[in-house]
Amino acid sequence: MAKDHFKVFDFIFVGAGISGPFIANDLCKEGADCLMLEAGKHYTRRTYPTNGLDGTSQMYWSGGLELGHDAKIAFLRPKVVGGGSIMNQALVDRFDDVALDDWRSASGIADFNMADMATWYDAAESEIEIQEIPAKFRNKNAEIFDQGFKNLEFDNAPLRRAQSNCRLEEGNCCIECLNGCRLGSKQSTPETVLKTAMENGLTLTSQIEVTQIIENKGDIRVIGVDAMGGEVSYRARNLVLGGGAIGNARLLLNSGFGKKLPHIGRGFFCHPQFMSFGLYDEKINSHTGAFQAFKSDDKGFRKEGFKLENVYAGPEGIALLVPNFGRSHHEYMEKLAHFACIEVCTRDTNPGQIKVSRKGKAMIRKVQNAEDISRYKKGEKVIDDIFKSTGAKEIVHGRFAIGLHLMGCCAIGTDPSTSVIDPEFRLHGYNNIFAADSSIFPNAPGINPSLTIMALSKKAAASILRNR
Amino acid sequence: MTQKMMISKYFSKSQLKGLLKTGDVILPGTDESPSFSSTGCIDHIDRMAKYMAEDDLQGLKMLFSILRWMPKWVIVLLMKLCNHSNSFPSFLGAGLRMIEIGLKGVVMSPYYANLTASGYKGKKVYDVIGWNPKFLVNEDGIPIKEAPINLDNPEPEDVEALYKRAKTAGPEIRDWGVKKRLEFITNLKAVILKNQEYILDRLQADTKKSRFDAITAEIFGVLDFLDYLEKNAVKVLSDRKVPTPFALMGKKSKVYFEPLGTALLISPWNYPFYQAIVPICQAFIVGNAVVFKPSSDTPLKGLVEDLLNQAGFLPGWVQIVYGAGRKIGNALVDGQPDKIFLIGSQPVGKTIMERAAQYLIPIELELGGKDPMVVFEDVNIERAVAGAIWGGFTTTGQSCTSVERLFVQESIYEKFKETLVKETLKLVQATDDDGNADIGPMTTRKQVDEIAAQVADAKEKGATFLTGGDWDGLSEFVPPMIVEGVTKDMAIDREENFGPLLPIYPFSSEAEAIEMANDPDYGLSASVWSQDIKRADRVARMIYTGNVSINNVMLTEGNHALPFGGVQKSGFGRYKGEFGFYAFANIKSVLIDQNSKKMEANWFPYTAKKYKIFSDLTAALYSPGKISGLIKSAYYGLKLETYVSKLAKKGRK
Repeated sequence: MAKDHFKVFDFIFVGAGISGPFIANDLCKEGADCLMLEAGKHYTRRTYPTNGLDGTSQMYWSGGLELGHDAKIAFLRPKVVGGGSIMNQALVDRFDDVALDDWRSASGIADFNMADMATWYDAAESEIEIQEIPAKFRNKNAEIFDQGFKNLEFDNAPLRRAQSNCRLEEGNCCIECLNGCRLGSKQSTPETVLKTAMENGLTLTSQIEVTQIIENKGDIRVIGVDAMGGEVSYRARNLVLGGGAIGNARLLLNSGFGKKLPHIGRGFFCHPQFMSFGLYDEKINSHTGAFQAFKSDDKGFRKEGFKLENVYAGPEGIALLVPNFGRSHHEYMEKLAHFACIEVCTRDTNPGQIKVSRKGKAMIRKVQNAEDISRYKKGEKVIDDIFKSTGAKEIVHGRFAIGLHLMGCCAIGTDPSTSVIDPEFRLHGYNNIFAADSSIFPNAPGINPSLTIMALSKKAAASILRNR
Repeated sequence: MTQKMMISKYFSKSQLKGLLKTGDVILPGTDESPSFSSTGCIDHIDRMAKYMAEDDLQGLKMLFSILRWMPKWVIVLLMKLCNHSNSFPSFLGAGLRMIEIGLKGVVMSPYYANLTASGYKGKKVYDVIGWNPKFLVNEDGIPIKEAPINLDNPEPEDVEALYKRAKTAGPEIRDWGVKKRLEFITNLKAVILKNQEYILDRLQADTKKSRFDAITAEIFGVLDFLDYLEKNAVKVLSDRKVPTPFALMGKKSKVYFEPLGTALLISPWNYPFYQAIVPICQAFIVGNAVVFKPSSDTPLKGLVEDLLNQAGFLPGWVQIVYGAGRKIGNALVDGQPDKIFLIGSQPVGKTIMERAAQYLIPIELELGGKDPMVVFEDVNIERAVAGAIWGGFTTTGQSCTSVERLFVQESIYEKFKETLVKETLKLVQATDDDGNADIGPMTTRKQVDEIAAQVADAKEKGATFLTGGDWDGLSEFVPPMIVEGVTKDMAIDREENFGPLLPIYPFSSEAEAIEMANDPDYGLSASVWSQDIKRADRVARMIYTGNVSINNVMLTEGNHALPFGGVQKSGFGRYKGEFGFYAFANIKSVLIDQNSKKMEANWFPYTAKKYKIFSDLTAALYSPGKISGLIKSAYYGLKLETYVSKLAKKGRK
């Protein structure tokens, strides 16, 4: 590798999550010489950790949960080649008018409308396989979700998941895929665009944590730390930031871009999610089969700023959410097979902020204001009603919120004083630094972000190629 | 065997106790669920700690250090406060929430990930909570498992694999640091103590030696050595500052002690436990991965691995390879370890050294001896006789430092001989189980035959057997034999004998004693006995050997602070004591200078003027004494520096 350090790449990508591989795939097809650096490890179907403890420890920043200043939300930030596409629940939804209208008004970019975005959604969807979980594979947890919606006359819809063959007909249980899908069914970037990008010449170097970027008259130097703690540096003509909301903000702030672009780190959103559990007399076995099949699809919910999801998690995760300790905690966990689970995901309105400490560590400040709290309370009320209407004997609310749609901090927009990235996906004032990942979201859409990250990345790749 | 003793790279023993205590408050167990501590899931804590953010880890360590000393009710109270964190003002509430998530996370994650101590027999957490998902795997998703390495008579591919594993283990071991590595040594000590009787049974089964010989030389000796490591390893292996001379002013000089990599250790059959644990631990504590080859005669198969495993050592750190020396020995050298350390016979030493020479692998050899005991006329005869008998016959004479030639001053020769014979006849010979026998039979048939040949040769050439003359040359119960009239043409005068054979010779003067004691070939150890300590010391200095005991026998080995090793064909290099660490260390010199604009006087360009100032400086610095020299040196030093900086700016002209 040593010789590459002196080589000047066309593009260096920081972060091998969703956005980077989507852009790299399109650029490499056109012959660009690209290097992708990723802080996490590069696992394969054969090497994904099989134990929940290892999965959480090895594939997230800080070895699992990260806490903000008030420790009310626990953030999950993937640190692995494939990023969120390895660890997420693979939900792929397009944004609706509500989300795009808000984006348009926040960013001043007219392209954010259903018709214009459809092109890019189509392009993104053409790279992956998408399936709905067939009705016959819904597990009991999904049935409760569905029944509750029917009882209360709310609308729901089957989930669209980025997957190809989960072998559900053979009785496979998908819960393990939260730590990487061993079947290769989940359409994570290493199974899709990252693979083709590498076939087209992309160099991927994992376990390099980029710590600083220096831009000097078109020449970009990227400095990082390798797994052994040694310093590495690379050069390129262009840089694509794909480190996510926290990663990009931290890198740009640590590299001194905050002076020119005061909005870096501001406008942080995370769709705070609250899991609730209903305890039933009969066994629900929520961990079996396709562990997730439904989402809410209710106009009222959308207006109220929340949505409900039919979800589940591993026992080590659920244990942390179940209240109390000692015997009482044990007694809940001993009934785990009787748990159903529904989550409310709020569309947060109060922006948080990422700052860096003197040591360069990311510090998360994210407060839920009265509006955000009322959104989640409304959702939680519906969950309680669903559980009650379907015969739950007890309802348990999770101890804290989880933030795993980490968005914003480098908002896209026309005005450099209120945004960081320009409409052509360039860092304001630079024509060689790009970003199209979740960090550019100008506000919280209230819809799962991954498909839109893919679509934006497709759009960014086209823009980069057009201006080349 | 019992449960493995856990050592964490990240938490101290005390912090682990704090974690266990907290764990049992958070997860005390019910009729259905096991308690946190009973599962032993704490053994897996490093799998988490390794990836934690530094601040989080430090916070947890601090918490556990405190909670360790708190009564249980305080932890209960803390957890109850955490339950109500939202009722507290924000900064307090945030702290409590952090504590709650931190403590619960570290306790619940391994527990609810179904992890347990190895050998755990209780209820599995997944069974209790009904967690039973079925995971299918496509063919290309089957985890690649490393093929098991066969260490019992390994094939070439196994040897390659075991060295590969050692290479991976090396950096891991190094990463733990000396202090943490010592925790494994402390554990091992406890494990050996706990299993002492079992180890003695295994030792006796393999070596047939008396139980008393086994406990003193092997158990006590090993524990004493490990104790020595605990007290000295950190001191010896810490970075050292060494003086930097005047001429190198402004620079710093340091010595680092780093591991070499993989050490191959080959040990003989006579002290199979001591000669396993001591070199293994010496090499390990410096940070090396170890490949250990015990003798195929007394392999103690599985014992050492088992003890190391219980002490928390990982399988790749110390790999024990079994098999006949000749075949396996060569293959192990061909695997190209970074260091070879061999205790054994001359022929084996020669073979291995020749082989090692091909790859230029550094080697140290501890070979046999032909150790003299010199007794002057002013000794306490009873004590000296008792020493001679023990030195000659302990472990049935099967020690490399056994007394093999006993020189007694003429004036007391007859009396000494008489007492020696009388006392020798009192020895009890058996493989006992209660500590009541003095010596056992011979360990190997090969050794019986060798002794038989030496005895036959001596008898044929006219030696007199004062004891044991009636041995049939076949029984493995070779009796202690005191032999008189040994001449230079006899094998027992020249060759090392590994049995209870003790030739006794008279001498007249100090000079003659020294001449006789100085063997042309060997030089491992010796003992000198005299009331006159000055004389004893004089003689000790004149004997060409590695170790000398004065008024005692084989006792340099009794102090683990003393180095051990020989001269001539008894081998070279030193192990044990401070010098023993160095046998397995890369002693690295580091000179630290500032990154300044300053140029060095000895760098280019060379000019006539610089030559002149330099030679004046040399003269001033190294001419004998006086303050004027010091002043002159300072003057020329300054002049040289000024000139050099001028040269740097303006060049040669």
